[in-house]
Amino acid sequence: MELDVIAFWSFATLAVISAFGVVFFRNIIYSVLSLISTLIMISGLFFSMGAELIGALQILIYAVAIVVFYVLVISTVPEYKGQAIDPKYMLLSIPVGFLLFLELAYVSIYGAWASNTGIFTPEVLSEVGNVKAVSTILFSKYLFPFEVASLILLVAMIGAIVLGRKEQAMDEEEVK
Amino acid sequence: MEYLWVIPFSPLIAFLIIGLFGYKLLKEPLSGIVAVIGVAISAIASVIGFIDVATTGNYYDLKLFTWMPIGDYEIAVSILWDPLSALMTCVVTCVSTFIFIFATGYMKDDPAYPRFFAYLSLFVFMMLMLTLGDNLVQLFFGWEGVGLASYLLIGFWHYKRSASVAALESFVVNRVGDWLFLLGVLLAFVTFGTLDYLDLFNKLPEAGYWTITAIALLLFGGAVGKSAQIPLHIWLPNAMEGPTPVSALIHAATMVAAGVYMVARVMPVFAASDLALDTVLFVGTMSAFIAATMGLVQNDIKRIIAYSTLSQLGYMFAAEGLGLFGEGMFHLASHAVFKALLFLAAGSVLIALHHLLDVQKMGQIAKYMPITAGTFLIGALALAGIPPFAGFFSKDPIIEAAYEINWVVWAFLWMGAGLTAFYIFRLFFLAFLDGDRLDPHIRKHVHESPPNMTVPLIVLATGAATLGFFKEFFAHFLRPSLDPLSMKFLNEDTKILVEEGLSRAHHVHIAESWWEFMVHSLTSPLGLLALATALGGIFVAYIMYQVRWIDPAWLVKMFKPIYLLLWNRWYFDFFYYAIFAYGYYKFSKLLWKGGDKIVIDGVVHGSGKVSMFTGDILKLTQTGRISAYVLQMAIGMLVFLSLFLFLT
Amino acid sequence: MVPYEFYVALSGLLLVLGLIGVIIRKNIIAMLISTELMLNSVNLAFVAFDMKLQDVSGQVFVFFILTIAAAEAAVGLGLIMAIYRLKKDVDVEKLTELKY
Repeated sequence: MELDVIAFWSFATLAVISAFGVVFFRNIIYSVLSLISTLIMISGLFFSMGAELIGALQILIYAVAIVVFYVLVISTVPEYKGQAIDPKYMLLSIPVGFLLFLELAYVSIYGAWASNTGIFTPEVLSEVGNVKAVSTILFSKYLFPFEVASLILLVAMIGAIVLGRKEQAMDEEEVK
Repeated sequence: MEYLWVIPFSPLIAFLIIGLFGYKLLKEPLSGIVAVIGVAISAIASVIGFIDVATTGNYYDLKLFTWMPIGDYEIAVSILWDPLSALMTCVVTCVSTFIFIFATGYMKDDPAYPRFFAYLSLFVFMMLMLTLGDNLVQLFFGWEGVGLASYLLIGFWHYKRSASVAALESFVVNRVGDWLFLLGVLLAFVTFGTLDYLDLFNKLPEAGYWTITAIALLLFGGAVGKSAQIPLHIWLPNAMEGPTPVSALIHAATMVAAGVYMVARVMPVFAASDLALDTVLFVGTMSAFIAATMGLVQNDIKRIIAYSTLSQLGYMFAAEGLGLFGEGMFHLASHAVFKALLFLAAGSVLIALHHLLDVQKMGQIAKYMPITAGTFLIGALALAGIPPFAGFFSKDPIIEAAYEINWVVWAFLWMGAGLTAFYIFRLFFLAFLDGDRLDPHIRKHVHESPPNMTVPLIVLATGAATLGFFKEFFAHFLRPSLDPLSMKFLNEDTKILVEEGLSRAHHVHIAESWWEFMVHSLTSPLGLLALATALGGIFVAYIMYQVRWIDPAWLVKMFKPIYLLLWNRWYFDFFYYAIFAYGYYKFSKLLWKGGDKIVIDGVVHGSGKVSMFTGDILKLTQTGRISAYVLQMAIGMLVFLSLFLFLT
Repeated sequence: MVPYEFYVALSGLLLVLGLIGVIIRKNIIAMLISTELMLNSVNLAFVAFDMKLQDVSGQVFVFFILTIAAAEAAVGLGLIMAIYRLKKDVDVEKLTELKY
């Protein structure tokens, strides 16, 4: 059995189990922890596919930064005392979800996809390395979106600060 | 012969002048004078034309302009001047002239004086278009036009509710007849391709018996409506709501005679079909008898005379049904004169009594109004058929001829004559003689009418007295129009056809000159019987109403059911109301409640309700919960994905 | 080499799980976490197709998705803080202002 096959199946199984955990755990901290696990498994899957750059980025951004956001907010909000899962929706959504999954699987296995369009055959990739390949494309063809993405980050940062601020009406009144 | 165009257009110009300038410039009595001059010019022109035709026996077909071409045929405004139309036109214009003169006195001080004379002139114009035309379309134009003028004039005092209701009733009932007439005209056009009388007559042998019968019966349907025969007679008594000159002119002398004229004008069509002649005979006889019975118990002076008109029209139609077209037209002419006389005399009485109509409240008027009473007496004698007045010479030939053709018809006509004599003299005795039942307040003001009203009375009375002596002249005069052998405009085949049709009258011999006729009549059992019946009728009226040996009230009690039947006019009004007016009202109400309210409103409201109901259900999906929305999206995705995968 | 279809099927499974999580969780923070799961499954699909098409544009896209997911998480959590301050509760059933 080759390494990538083992890698795929083990990472995949663990990812799915963690995903179930994200959805069905009552305690929200358990849910967040399962999310971390899922993210790391997915990163592993990225590595097994040969996408090292984003595999690394996934862990850096997702598993570290974003999860910290969540934990911060969860700790600010007092414990949620209600029901974790709404049974009304469970009755309807699980069958729908299952059917959707079946259809997606059907599409992915029997669908007719386009054939090779790109330039990075495995030979080229083994010579150049994934990081160089991605960065070449990123800074030539997709330069503009790259710059826009940084602007979005700036805007999101400002937005988050404004939204997260407490009301300062009383200070202003005192000043007047 | 071009001067003949003056005849219809002179009253038209009078109408336009009075209509446009009447209220501003032509105050009373100028409008009346303009109208009288208009009609008088027509009268003079028609008399000149009459003399021309009388001396030469020619006929003239003049066309003015083409109104509308239809395929190969052109409808033209035209004049057909032959003895028949000349006679009718003369009757209309001459009688109209005297009635117009009378009306200037009758309508004195009425605020709408100009409007009255405008409408009267319009009526004369329409009537003349009817009589002068040479095709069925112009006749129909005049036919409808006189119906319109009649409506306007019956409802002249439009603020009186009964008058406007009566006007509407006359128009609607006439419409039923007009509808049948129009169907007849259409059928004629489809069959023959033309509507000119002369062409129509000459093409008659080409069509089948049943087609001609259908055309004749449909045209006669129109005559039933216009001339108020049973069963479309209900409008005529109510038409008495109009001013008396209107009753005299339209509903006695001219418009109601239009039906008789029409049947005589298209005589070849009727003669070609035995069934049509029989129908005319039946309807005429029935109307003559039934109308006479209805007149027996009326108390309104004008209505009695109206029922008498109905009855006499029945006699005219009966004459035509018997094939005696000449006799029918002669009776039309003499009836026009004495009926107009009777109405105008009644009008004179009404003016004197301030429009009191109830005969039971009158009496002894002869003392105060001798001229009116005298002329009325002459008219009554003429109507009753007493020699030597005109009615004897025009009505008795019909009755005597009926005996030789069909004795059942004779029986009804003879009984009708007796009843006629009775009721007209009942009227005379109750109104002019008998006891004094006048309201004292009115009695103070009763006086004879002014000369512009009494002179026409005298002229018409003279006519009623002397017209009978021209019997021979009329018979000869009308021959080129009504005797197939003498009709110059018919071709041979049609002559044979018409001659066959009129064969029922062939063995009847009516003495032509008045002296011969009178002698023959007074010496034959039939004639004596008729005369005796008429005198008997007068005598019975005298006994009951003048000397009061028999009490009318006791008679009423004895024969209560019959009295009720007659008093309620044979319940025609009741049946018509129940079936048509009330029935239609109920049907409309049903359609309104059921059809409109339940069905249509139901659909309209229902669609609104369905909308709202659907909305109420659909709004349950808008819970405001994000989870619900995501679920709905997921379901949608599932559905569309399945559709794409498994259907394409 | 594992064929790319398996990766895509896996991504579909994770997507559906995330969808179910969004629908059934009542805590609004948990809903956002499930949303992150869905984003990740899409990333997986992108890279799987890159394998097939022998191109790296998909990975560039994943790069951008990563960025945007971070921004979105920040803003979303900021909104949740504001909502919490207003309503003192993070139960999604209480947030039904748009109800009929």
